[in-house]
Amino acid sequence: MMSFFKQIKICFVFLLINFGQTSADDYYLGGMFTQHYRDGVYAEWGKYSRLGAKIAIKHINDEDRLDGDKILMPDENIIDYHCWNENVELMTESLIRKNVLAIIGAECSDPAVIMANTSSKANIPIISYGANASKLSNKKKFPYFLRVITPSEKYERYLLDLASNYGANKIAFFHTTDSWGEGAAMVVMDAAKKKNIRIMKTFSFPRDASQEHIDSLVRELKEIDLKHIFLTSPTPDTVRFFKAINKYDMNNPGYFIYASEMILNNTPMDAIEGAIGYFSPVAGISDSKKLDYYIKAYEELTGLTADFNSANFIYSVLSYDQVILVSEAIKSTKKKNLEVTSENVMSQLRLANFQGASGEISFENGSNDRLNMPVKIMKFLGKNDKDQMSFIPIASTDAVTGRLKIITQ
Amino acid sequence: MNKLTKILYLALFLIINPDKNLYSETYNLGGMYTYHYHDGRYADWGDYAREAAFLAIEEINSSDFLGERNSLQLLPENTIDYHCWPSNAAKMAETLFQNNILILTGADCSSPAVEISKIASRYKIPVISNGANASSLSSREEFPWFIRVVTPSEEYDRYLIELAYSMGIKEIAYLYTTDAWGLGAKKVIHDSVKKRNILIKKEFGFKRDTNQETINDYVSEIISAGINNIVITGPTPDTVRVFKAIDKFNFNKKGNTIFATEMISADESIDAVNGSTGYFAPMTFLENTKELNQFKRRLSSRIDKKIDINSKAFFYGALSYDHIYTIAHAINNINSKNQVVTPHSLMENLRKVDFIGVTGRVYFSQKSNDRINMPLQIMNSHGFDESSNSVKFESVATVSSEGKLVIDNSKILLPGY
Repeated sequence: MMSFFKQIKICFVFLLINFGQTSADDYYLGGMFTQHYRDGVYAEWGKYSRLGAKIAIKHINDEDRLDGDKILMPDENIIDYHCWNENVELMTESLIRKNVLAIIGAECSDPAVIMANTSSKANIPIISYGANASKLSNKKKFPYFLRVITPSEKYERYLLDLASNYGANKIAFFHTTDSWGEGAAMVVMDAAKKKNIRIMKTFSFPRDASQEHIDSLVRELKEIDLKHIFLTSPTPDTVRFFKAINKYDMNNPGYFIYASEMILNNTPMDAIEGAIGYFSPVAGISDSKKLDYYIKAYEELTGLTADFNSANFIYSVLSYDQVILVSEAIKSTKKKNLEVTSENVMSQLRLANFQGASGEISFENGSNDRLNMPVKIMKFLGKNDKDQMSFIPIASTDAVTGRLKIITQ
Repeated sequence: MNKLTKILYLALFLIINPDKNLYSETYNLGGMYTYHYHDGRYADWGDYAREAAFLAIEEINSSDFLGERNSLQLLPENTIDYHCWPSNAAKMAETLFQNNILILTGADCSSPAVEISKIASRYKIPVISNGANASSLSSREEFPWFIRVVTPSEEYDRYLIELAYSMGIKEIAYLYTTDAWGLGAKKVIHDSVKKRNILIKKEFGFKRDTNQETINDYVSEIISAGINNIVITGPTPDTVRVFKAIDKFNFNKKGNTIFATEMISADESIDAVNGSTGYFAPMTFLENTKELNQFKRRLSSRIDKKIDINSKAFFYGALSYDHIYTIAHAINNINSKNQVVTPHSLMENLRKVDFIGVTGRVYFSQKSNDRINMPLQIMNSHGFDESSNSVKFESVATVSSEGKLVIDNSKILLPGY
C-alpha cells in the first residue's frame, strides 16, 4: 500500500501540473451561408464556400495555430438565409445569443447590410467573403463589418473598360433595385461617363422579378439598336435575363453582353444558350504556396480538380481566407495580452496583414474593404463535357497600375 | 458500331462496374426539412428528421431493399431548409418539382405543407410528410397528391382536453395561432371542450411569430382574470414565447395547469423550460421494439449525439425514417406488379402501403391522406435535467385501443412541484 506521505506527494505534483496549465478556449463562430436561393434554386457556390470555411477551421485546429485554443462552427450555428433579407435580423440575433465571437459568410449584399446593422448593436464582427455593395465600405456606418473582397465599383468598372476596348460608345443597362443593384448602377454610370460611353436605355427591376417581366424588358431592348448590354443583378435574375436573351434570339454575333455575376453549374439550358460569350468579373487568384496548400485539402475533400476559373472554387478560397483572418486576429489579440473578446478581435481584424490563399490580405484605412485585390474578366464558353459551366479569363488587372490588361480576345 | 462491338462494350462495362445492373433505377427524392426556424433558432427535431431520412436511404440502398440495385437518392441540391415557414414554400417546392423528382419528402410543418401540396397538385408529384398534422390536409379532394405518416391534429389535441377533464378542470384560457394548422386545432379544441362542458373563459388568436410583448400581454390578462389553466395550440416558437411569458409572470406554480400541442426542444432557453415544467403535450407512442432500439443506435452514431427516446427530436426522427420506408414499400409494390414507377403510380401505391415501421404499423385511410390507428401518448415535462443538460419528458398517459386515455398518475409532475 502507498504510504500517506507518498500519496500527499503525488497529489502535490498533480496540483502543480494542473495549476501550471492555462485552460484552452473554444471560440465559436456563427455562419450565415446560402445553400438555396429564396425560390429554392440551388446555390452551388454556397456549398463550396462552406467547405472552404470548414477546411480553414480544420487547418487552424489540427495545426494548433492558436496554441491550444480552437475555433468551432457547429452545423447548428450555420443558417441558410437564402441570400434574402426576410428575417435576417432575427437570424443574426439568434446567432449572437449563442455567444459567437464573430459571424462569417454574409455573402449577399442586401442581407449583409442588415447583419452589419444588427451586429453593430451587439459589437459582434461580421466578416463577409462575397458582399460587395459599395455602401458596405463605410466604416462609420458599419463599424463591425469587414470583407475579404473589394467593393462592387472595383469590379464593375472593369466591364466598362472592356466595353471601351471593344469600341462601345453606347450601351443598354439592366439593374436590380435592391441596395446592391442601385450601388452597382451608380458605379456603371460613373465609369461610363469617364469612358465617354452613353447609357442610351436603362431598365431597372426588383430582385426576383418574374420571367414575364424580364421578357418584356428584353423584348423592348430588341427594338432598340444597342449591341453592348450591361446587367448588374444577383444570379437568379441574371439567369432569367439570359433566358429572355435566348427567347428573343439576341445572342448573335455583333452583340456583347456584360454581367456582374458568373452563372452556376445548375443553370438551365435556355439560359446557357442565352449566355454564351458573355463577360463577367471575378476575384483574381494567383499561384502561391498558401493556395497550393489549400488546393491539396480542397481536392482531397471534393475529389475534384481545383478550377481557377470556376466561381465555386474562387468563393471557396475567399471563404477559407475569411476564417484564417479571424484566427490571425485572435492570435494578434492574444499576442498583445488582450482578452479575446469580440470588440478586441474587431480591432485586430482591421490591422491584419497576412498572406492568404487568395493573396495578400490587408484592409483600407477608414473603410471595410480589402486592399489591392486583383480582378479578372471571364468569358463564358458554355457547358463543358463534365456538365460544368466553362469560363476562361480574357483580361486581368495589373497589380501595379490597376489597369485592365487584355489577355486574349 | 457493329453488334459484336456493342456486346463487348457492354461486357466491359459490367466488368468495370460489377455493382451496376443495366436496368437499375435511381429514384430522385426532393426534401423540404427544417434545420432552423424562420427566426434562426436551431430546430433539433428537423435536424433529426433530415438525418433519419438520409439514414433510411442509406440502409435501403445498402441492403438492396428495392431489388435489382434500384436506389433512392436525396441530393443536397434537392434538400431545402425552408425554415418551417410558408412564405415562398410553394416556389421552393416548384423548383424541386422542376428538378424531375419522383416525390417530395419532409414537409413537416402544416402551413407550408398546405402551400407545397397545392403546387404538388399542379405538377402531379406526390408529397409525403413526416409531421404536418393540420386537419385541413386530411382532404383527398383538396390535396390529392399529399399523404402523411401522422394522424391529423384532432386525434392528438382532443386528448389534451380529455386529460384536462379527467383532472377535473372546468375552465381554461386558450391561446392559438391563426395559420391553417392553428385554425384546424382551434376547431378541435372547441369541439372537445363543448363535449366535456369545459368553459373557455378567455381566448387569444394570434399570428405565427407574434412578438414576445404581445404574448406577455395575453398571459398577464389571463392571470388578472384569475384563470388557472392554459391550453396552447401553436407551433413550437410561439409555444415557447407563451412559456417565457408564463415564467415571467410566475404562472408556473402549484394549482395551475398547462397543456400545449407541441413538445419543446431539448435545448430550449431556461426561462421557457422553467415556464413549461409540468406541462402536458401529446405525441406518437413508440413501442420499445428491437427495431426501434436499432434505429436509435444507428441514428445516434450517425449524428454523434446521445439520444433521449422521449425527446421531440427522436419522435420526428423515427417518423421521418418511416416516411422514407413508406416510399420504398410503395416502389416495391409497383415493381412487383411490373408497372413503371411514375409519380402517378407511386401516389396510388403509397395509399396502399402497410408495413411495420419503427413507429408501429404504417398504413393509411382510404378516404383521407392520414395514417390510421396511430398510437398516441401524453408527455409531461419534468423540467431541466442537469445530467443531460436538456429538457426531460416522461410519458404519463397512453390511448387504449378503444380510444380511452389510460393515465399513470404516479409519473405526473404538475407546475410548482
